[in-house]
Amino acid sequence: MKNLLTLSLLVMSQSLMAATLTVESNSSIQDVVKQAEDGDTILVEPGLYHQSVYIDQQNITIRGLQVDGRFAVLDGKMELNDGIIAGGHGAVIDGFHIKGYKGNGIMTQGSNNFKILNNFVEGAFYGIFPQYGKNGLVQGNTVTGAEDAGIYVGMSDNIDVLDNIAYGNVMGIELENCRNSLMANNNVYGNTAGLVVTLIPGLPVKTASDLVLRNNTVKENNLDNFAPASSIAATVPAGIGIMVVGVDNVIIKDNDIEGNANLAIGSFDLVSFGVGGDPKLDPYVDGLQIYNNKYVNNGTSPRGILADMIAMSGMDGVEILDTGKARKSCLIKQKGLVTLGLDNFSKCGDYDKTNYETAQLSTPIESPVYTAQQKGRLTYLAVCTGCHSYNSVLHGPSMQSIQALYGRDTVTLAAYITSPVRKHKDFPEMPQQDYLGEKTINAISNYILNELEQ
Amino acid sequence: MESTFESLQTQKWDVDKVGCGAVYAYEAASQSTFDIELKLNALGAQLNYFLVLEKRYPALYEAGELGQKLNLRWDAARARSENLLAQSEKFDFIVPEVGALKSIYLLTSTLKNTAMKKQLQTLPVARDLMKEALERDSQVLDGLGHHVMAKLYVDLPVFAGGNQALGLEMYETALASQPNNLELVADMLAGYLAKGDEKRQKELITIASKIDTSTLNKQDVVDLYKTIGGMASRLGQQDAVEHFRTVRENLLENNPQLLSRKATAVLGHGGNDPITGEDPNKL
Repeated sequence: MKNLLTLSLLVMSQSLMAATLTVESNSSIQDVVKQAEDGDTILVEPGLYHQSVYIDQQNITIRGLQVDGRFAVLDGKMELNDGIIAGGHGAVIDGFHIKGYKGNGIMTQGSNNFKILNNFVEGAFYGIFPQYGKNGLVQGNTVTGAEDAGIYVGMSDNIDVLDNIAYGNVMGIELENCRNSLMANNNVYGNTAGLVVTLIPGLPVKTASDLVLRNNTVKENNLDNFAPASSIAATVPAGIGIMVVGVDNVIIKDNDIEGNANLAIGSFDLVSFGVGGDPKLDPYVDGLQIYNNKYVNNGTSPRGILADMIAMSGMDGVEILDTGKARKSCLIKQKGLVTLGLDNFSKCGDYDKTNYETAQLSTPIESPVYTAQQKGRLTYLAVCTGCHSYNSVLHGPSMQSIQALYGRDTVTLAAYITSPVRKHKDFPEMPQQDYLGEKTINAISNYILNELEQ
Repeated sequence: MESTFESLQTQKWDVDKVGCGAVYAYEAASQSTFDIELKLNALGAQLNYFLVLEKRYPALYEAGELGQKLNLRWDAARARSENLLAQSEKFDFIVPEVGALKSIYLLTSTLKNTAMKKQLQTLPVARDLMKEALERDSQVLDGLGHHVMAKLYVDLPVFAGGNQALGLEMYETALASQPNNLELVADMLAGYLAKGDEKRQKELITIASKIDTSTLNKQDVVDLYKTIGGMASRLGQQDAVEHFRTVRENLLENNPQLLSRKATAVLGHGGNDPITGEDPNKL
């Protein structure tokens, strides 16, 4: 009894101690973030902020206020790489207008129990990109103009992606190497491909499975692919409503799929899609279930590679396609629905009638405190790889050349990262990274010079 | 010059040397009008070069300086191959290897630096060329034709002429006559993975672990052991994984010129697991 009372008092005192900090209009968000402690709330007044923001405290809520129709707008002006990055667990990022960033609009890296809510993100390579997270929610956001995916959930488990709007992206919403996650009640239209679930080779997570895509509106995703020519997103064919690539146990049900010129639903194995090559993963689709969807005017004007693929069969008006290699899969075929490659699909019999309200866990998941070394790696992946690859020039010099230049001098490298000075006219100017904070920059510097590819 | 390019062809860890070999081969072949064997060997050198180049491309994102350089080399190899084929096609009526090599050229030259649409369009053409070559000589290219045809049947979508059962049958026939062909076994593994036949996959992994690799190209062994070992890892065959890992690591340690093919991170993807620091693709 005494222990219970002590615990209750401790919890109460912690919540009482949580502060609310306010960022005054047009001032530095990062300066206020630096003052925040675990559990605090940061309110950002409407205004224009040309900044990148990095949060690595735990359980921080950062909320853009809306007053008289004015929003907190983060504008990278195509000079900065990332809008808001959260490395701490329990992050809540809510209510911002984010535009003009070259890399990520909003990113969480290794953050569990996160919530990304009610943001409007324009442009960027990835609009909203939670990665390596567990138990999260992406809800009520609008994303547009992403050169890869508007919402891109990577290598995460137990994630709900609900009630978002995605238009004008290469992929509207993508789950990559995710497990036990849900896409529901989203409205995706005018993208190259609407909803995409993938198993990408070579990544640390070698499976993708148990995903439910239900009650989404997926309309007219026929936008020409505008991803950079050499990126994997450039292989996404235009005109697909819902695309499954190598993922197991996907349920596609109760969706409204209309006006997608190539296909309502396309199911591909990695080999046929041309992204094989990881022997540790199974590249074939297993356990796909498709039922109770509404199909209107899909597959009416196939183009590009899918047109050629469908033409090989001599059919037209194909609405659902599989490369013929999906296993243990089923379909309830509505009258008039034209399919190709689904001969080995059975009729879904006793399919699971669960409504799949949520994939999130009932209680927050345990969230380990990351070591400095882990933070260095996570932030390197989130921030540095946007412009640097290891053994080649991407935008900035290769990491191999940086290692050769600095040797083991982590102090000088950290100083440079904090306040870079343009050294070669052949490279663009590197944005200041001081927003990451001294501890994180030291961790990154140590990772680059003492660990990376050593 | 011929012996030079033959020697350079084997140095698969060095894209520059293999590239030089491909150029030497081309120049030697171009100096002769009627030496069809020389021309086909030169074409084979280009195909070998494509496969070496292909492994140098980054896994996920091919932009930047490296991707551009590789594309330039790829285009040059393509041009040489096209010229060699043009020089060789007059011999097609008597030499079935011409059609077979053209098929393989279509398949290898479209692995990279090629629009997906073009890749797809070449597959049935490659299939038909190889089919015809096999009808003329069932052992064309010392059994390689049979191997390639099997792979095509397994990999092609069913509505594009793919036939998994036939492909696997062809693989088994090929294995019967080439029991020590490690690359064949690796491709068969992929075929049985497509079928979902774990039992046969495990048998093939055991077969692979017993193949004598002492006469094989060391870079090929390093690469194939990574592939087969990865598949063994997925199937839980830890003894096999240990075998492939040990042999591979010994090769890499004793032959520092060999490439380990470790992938690195780009654009927020790939590289080591940031939580554990481990390479997720190592055996």
